[in-house]
Amino acid sequence: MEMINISDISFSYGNSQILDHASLHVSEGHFSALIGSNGAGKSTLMKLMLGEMRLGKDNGSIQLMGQDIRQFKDWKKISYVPQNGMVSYRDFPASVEEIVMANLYSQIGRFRFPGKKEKEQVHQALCQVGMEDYQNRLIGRLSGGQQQRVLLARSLVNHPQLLLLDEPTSGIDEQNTNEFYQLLQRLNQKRDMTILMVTHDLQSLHDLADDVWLLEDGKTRLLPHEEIPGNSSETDISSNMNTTCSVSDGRFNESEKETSAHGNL
Amino acid sequence: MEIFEYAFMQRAFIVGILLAIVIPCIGIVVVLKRLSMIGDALSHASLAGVAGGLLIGMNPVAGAAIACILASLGIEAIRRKIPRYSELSISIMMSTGVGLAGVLSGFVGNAANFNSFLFGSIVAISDLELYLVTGVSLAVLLTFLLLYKELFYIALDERSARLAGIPVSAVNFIFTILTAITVAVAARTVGALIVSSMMVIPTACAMQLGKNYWQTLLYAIGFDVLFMIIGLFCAYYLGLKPGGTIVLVGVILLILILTAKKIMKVE
Repeated sequence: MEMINISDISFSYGNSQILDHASLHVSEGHFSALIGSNGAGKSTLMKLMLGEMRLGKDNGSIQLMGQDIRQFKDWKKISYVPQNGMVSYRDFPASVEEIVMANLYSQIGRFRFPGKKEKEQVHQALCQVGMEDYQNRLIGRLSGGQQQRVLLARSLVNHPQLLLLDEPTSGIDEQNTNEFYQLLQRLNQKRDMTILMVTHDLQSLHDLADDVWLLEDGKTRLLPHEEIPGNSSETDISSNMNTTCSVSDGRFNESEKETSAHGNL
Repeated sequence: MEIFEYAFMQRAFIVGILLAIVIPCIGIVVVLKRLSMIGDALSHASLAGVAGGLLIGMNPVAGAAIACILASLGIEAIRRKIPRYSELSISIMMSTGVGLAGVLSGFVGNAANFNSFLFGSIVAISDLELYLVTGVSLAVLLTFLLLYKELFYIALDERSARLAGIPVSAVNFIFTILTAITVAVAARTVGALIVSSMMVIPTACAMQLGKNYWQTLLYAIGFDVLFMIIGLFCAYYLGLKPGGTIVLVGVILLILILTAKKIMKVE
């Protein structure tokens, strides 16, 4: 199944044409990246995919999980990691646990406070990104890389099928960026999670993504494998991961953890 | 204690403490959405409503509530049009409120009644106003607790909140109405020019100490109640105006907290 199917869409702000008959397809279980220079229209495409902006009637179509975006209701199957979490959350007085818990909204329901079960889910999500020791920390006290991992845990807590990331590593140093990418790769390979990452960071894409789409002059192009930029990254994040967490949903067992030698994913 | 022998002071303490519990609930969300000046804009709009109410013979608190609701809906509408410069919507509404209040107050016959809304009249609260404040405070508090999770997530990240299934527009609309009603009622008691300080200063103090959102909220309420009690005592025994005294107590405590934090950091 195609998790994302964008066909022939056009979009403009006033007289400025941002997208010009652009298309993009992401198959189930694939790790895709969308690259392009600043102002190429990557964020606009993301907003259209998230239903924040609407396409005109004759300006192409966007389908998520086989449903037209206009009728799409299964938003809880999709998680989103925003850009610049570090800047937005710097002074926000919330603990890591509260931030991850927020995404369990549809499970907790209205007029109810989270219980033991939800707290355990949050703990497990933090385990997956190696941040369980920071559960009670203020988000603003964490480094940029750690904050991005918390945001990733937030997006994982309700087991999404499709993960969308909007330049998740901008403003983060190289080592943390590599660690973050390895987490994503593990999610994609071990959990079969479909990922679309918008980025202008071309490093590591070669090893990371199955497909790389280039957005240029409003048009998209699937890059042939040999044209995919980036070098192999050998950074190992196992030293930063805690292997004491048990993952209760059965998705990862002890042998997986031992053989992967990469902590929790 | 002598201060509690007077019925007007008893009422002042009841109303003051109730407002000190409710206002930070609104204040923490307002501050975290980076709309701290919204209280100022609404309180100025409430003055326009008071003047309008007095002119047409309507209860001035009702006039203030209507003006606040209209102004807050206006702020929300402008904010949606220009999300990157959301503070601009507040400035536009504040200017409109000031302008209208200035013009309309020129036609109000009873200037003393209008002026009582500027700095409030917490020691001159009638039984009716006591019931009104109690009813509104309980309603606002209950709604805030029912929407606690939603308001937290929207303040943190509106886009992700919508993706998580939160009806963002509906919650924002309800919160806007809550803010407007709170400001209108508080304008009568603590004063239109003071209510926004009661929203922002306790939250600013609490943010220096809170280790999470829930704790920060409780600290903010605790601080606001403390400011209210100290302010009313000082006002009574030193013969000061209560509204201004309450705010100044808050500002002094904020400065003390910031200074203490800085000293502790250096050490």
